Amino acid sequence: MSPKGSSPLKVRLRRLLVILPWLAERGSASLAEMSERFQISEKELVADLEQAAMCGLPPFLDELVDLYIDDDGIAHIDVPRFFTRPLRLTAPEGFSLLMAGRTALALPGAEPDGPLARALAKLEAVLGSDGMVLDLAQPASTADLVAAVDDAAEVRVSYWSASSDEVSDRNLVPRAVFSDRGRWYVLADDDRSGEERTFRIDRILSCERTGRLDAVREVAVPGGDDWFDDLPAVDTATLRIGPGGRWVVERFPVRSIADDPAGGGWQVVELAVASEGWLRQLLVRLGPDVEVVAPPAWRDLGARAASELLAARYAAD
Amino acid sequence: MGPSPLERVTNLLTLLLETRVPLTLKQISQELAGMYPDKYVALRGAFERDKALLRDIGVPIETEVLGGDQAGETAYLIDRDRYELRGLHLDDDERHALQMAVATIRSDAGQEGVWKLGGSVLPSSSVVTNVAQHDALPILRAASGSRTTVAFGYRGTERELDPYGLLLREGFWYVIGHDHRHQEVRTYRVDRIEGDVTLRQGAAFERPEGFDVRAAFPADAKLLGEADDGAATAEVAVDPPLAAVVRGELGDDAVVREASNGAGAVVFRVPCVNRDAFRSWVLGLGHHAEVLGPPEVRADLVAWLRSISASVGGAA
Repeated sequence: MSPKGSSPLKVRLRRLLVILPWLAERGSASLAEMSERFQISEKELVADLEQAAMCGLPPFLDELVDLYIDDDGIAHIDVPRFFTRPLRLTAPEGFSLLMAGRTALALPGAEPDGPLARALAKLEAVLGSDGMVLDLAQPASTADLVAAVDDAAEVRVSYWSASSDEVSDRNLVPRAVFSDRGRWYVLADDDRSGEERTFRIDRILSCERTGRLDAVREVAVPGGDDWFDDLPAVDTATLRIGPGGRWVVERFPVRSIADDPAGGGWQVVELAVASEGWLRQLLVRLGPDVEVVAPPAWRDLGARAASELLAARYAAD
Repeated sequence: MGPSPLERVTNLLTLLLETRVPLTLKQISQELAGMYPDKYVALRGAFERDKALLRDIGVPIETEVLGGDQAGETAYLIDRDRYELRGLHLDDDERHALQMAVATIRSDAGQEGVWKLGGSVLPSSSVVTNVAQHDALPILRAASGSRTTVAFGYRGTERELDPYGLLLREGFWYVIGHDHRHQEVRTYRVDRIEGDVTLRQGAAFERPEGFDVRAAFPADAKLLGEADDGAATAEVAVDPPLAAVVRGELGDDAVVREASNGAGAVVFRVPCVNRDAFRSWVLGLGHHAEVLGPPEVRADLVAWLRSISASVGGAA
């Protein structure tokens, strides 16, 4: 959001158009409260309000804003009728609010008739009912894991790892649950590795509390560019990726990315790789949209993987 | 020293809100005396920057080309009805619930929306969803909300669609609506839309009573807005231990049969309308899964694997 310190014009204007209606509704407010609510330093806040007070369009209107800041740091304000209501929501803002609200309503523990549902109904009345549906089916253990995050409760799980292709039993202390592109993950302290790792919830075959409670600890939830798999990245591969493989760039941690000089929408990408098995699977899924540039030993990895899968499963075709 | 940029753009906003008749650039520069440069080219440049900034934050500036003695000149104003957010009165707990919701999806635009509604930004919550974003989504949602027909390119063809709704399913966004050319309900993948989505201003539609995008999502692949013909579901055999994983994902209803050889393999019926997503899903199970049929879906996968295996040496 808006950075502290001097801000670009757009941020300042947008902020002003948020602050003025808010202040108009109240008549007065303390600078300290506004500073916290609108994430702006008091100095910058006073500067922006004073700027607004200097605006005016004679003969219509001598001054835009009648402002007085008293010794106790309370701003008293008289705002003309233009700026007593908030600016309408832009299409992206409306979309994001509705999507966020509907997503949250689909999460474990949401109240279908609670304040969020009421807020969404009001938003829909203003923004138009749009028939948007988010199909966020959750694997069976999701709700239990969310509850375990809240209690910092240790769980014993049986988990299939795609990277190593084996089932393991391990104790986890779940720290956060998140979904990305339709899949649900739990970020947890993992006793087997002694590290914080991410596990796909749909690959958890069983999940039970051990009874041990840990201290609650805040963690950073991975974003779209972060690594989330049950193994740390150990290697780097350089790939040429075609237009059909763009999702890889969004989904997996990329160490560098450049347009391929050959054009055609291809990109040259340095990708973090967890294991050879993981890369094999990725290459087979990408098919004609990928080519390994380096290391040389992996140049025919995808072709080998496809041949082996054909031989193992489709030999008679 | 001249006025600050914030002062100038705020005054421009006030002027365009105050005026009852559209104003030309010349009139604007006269009203805002001393705020804009005198020379025309510099004046136009400064005005265009201010106008772009205002539009960028959501201010709807209307333009009109004048007739009469000002023929051909463009004039500007802001319609206050469209500028203000009206009729939205959220209680504190409702606003707070929206703030919490935005924290779970981590959207910059959502935070700005919350902020406009008078809420502050919250740190992220213990449940987070990273939902795929596409530039086309906000305009498709707005068009669906205002019942406005849209046009966009898809597989090299221009489509006209009355967007009844949007569906997020398995990480993919779809737009579902009445396709003008085909005269039936079609579904398009939003990430495959080519170029911009444009609104057909003035072209309105009614959404059928009780329309539900979930129910309308095609079981028939031909009704997906792509040329893919073929089966809607495939049979996939999955070895243990992944059979348990897949059963958890698809549910018991998807089980066709347990394989007879006693090895614990399970055959599932899996939707394959979105063939890319299906193939990616099956291949994600590695050698633990095999597509049994129907024949064309199996052949499709075999052809995919052969083309990759044939690239040995070619790519190196």
